[in-house]
Amino acid sequence: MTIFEGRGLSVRYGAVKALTNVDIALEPGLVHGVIGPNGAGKSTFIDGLSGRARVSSGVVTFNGEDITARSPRWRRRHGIARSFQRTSVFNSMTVRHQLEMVAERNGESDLASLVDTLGLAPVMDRVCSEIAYGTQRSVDLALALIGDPKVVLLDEPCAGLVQDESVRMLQHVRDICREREVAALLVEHDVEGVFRTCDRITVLNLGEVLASGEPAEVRSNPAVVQAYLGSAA
Amino acid sequence: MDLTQLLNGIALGSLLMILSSGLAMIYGLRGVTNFAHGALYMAGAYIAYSVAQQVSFWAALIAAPLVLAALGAVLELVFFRRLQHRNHIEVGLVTFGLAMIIERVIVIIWGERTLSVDAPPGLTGTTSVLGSDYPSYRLLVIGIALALAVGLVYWLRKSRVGLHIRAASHDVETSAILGINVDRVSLLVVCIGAALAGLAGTLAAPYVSVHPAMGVAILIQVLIVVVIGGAGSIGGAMLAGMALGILQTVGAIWAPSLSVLIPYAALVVVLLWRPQGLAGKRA
Repeated sequence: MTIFEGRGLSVRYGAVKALTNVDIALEPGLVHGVIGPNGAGKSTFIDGLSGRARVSSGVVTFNGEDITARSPRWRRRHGIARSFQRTSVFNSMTVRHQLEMVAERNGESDLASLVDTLGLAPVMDRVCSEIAYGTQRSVDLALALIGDPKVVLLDEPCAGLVQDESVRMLQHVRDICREREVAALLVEHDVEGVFRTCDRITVLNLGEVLASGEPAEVRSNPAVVQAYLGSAA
Repeated sequence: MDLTQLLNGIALGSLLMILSSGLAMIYGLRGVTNFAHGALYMAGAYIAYSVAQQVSFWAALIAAPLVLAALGAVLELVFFRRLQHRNHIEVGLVTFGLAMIIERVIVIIWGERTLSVDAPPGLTGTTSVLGSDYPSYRLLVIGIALALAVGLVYWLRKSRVGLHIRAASHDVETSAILGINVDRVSLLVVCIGAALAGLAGTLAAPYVSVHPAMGVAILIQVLIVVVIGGAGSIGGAMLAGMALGILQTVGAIWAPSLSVLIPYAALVVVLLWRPQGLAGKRA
């Protein structure tokens, strides 16, 4: 059952077409990956879905309601969270302060279990700028997941992580989304990680959808092999 | 340097501290260099003059910051909020224009002559501090500034609203997306910033003369204080304000002909040695 949908989304920056006629449908508990080379329009896509970028045409719906004109803050308050390529952690605050602040603003009922799942308990009273980058990324994921969102739009949660951390992060994303019945969109550079983690994948190239479907289907798509994965894939 | 001179430096530093903490708060949240801050300070002094004439200095101490807070609300709602996506130079120019308008309105209402405000009864004399007689009113200025600094820092660190202000100052967009009502936080911060300018103007009124150029004169010093402190850092601005007040006063005794250069020299030294300011973060 689709909970969050983008239909025919296009985003323009002046004369530049950053995204053209892209569709996506997210379902509870499933992770939908978006891959594509640099400049493919992945971040623009997430910006359009989260309300950060104005879509020039197309519709975004949540539970069937047209929310295209709604602000990012409205979307967050109504259960559509997002993360950025850069982390959203507040460097001068302790992990506890910022998690509790966001929990208080968004009505999180079970912060303790989220903290536990993401292994953040040992760093709760440390200032964010003093903890390892990989842990900051986990705090960032926690910030997006606080308040029981129904949809999370994750923009490269593994950016800057080493291989082991990246594997662990994607595992967390998949497990938490399944457990909490969250519909997730995962934009990520780590292509193998996306194929391993996601239930469905959309490949973007030059702002347009090159392929979309289940991982095996996308992996064997000749256009994807040609344009993105290379002939060896 | 004797104790009196040191206390004079602390008194001047106290005014700079109150004024620059307001400017730093607004800069930290809105990213706006509020060139109207000097005019707000001046408006505070003139309002204090009228209220002190009609009622009392103590009433002015309450009324002027309240009027300025209301003016701050207008600034935020009419200008800063609407211009938040414009570039900093454009918004800076708007505040510069606002400063000129406020100054002109003040001249129309109060005239161009220099006015004086008496220290409140009971504080017109001197108090003995470690054997030196020192003007009681200036001790009040120092006391209020220090209490305010402690209160402001405590409030920002410990209260829920303070937490939201710190978050929004760190990153407005992220804070909004995480559910913080940034518009409400901004309104509060600009009102407090303007009220602090009004308070500084009120405290300055019996201390320095009240005249139409007082805003411009102090604005340059306060901008230097905020840059030295680390743009957007309230603690840094307070520290730099106090340090500059003391340096300037002491410099005026030791090297009178060079003392006017002290703020600029300090600015150059800090920008070369620590471009992000004393308490600022590296870019």
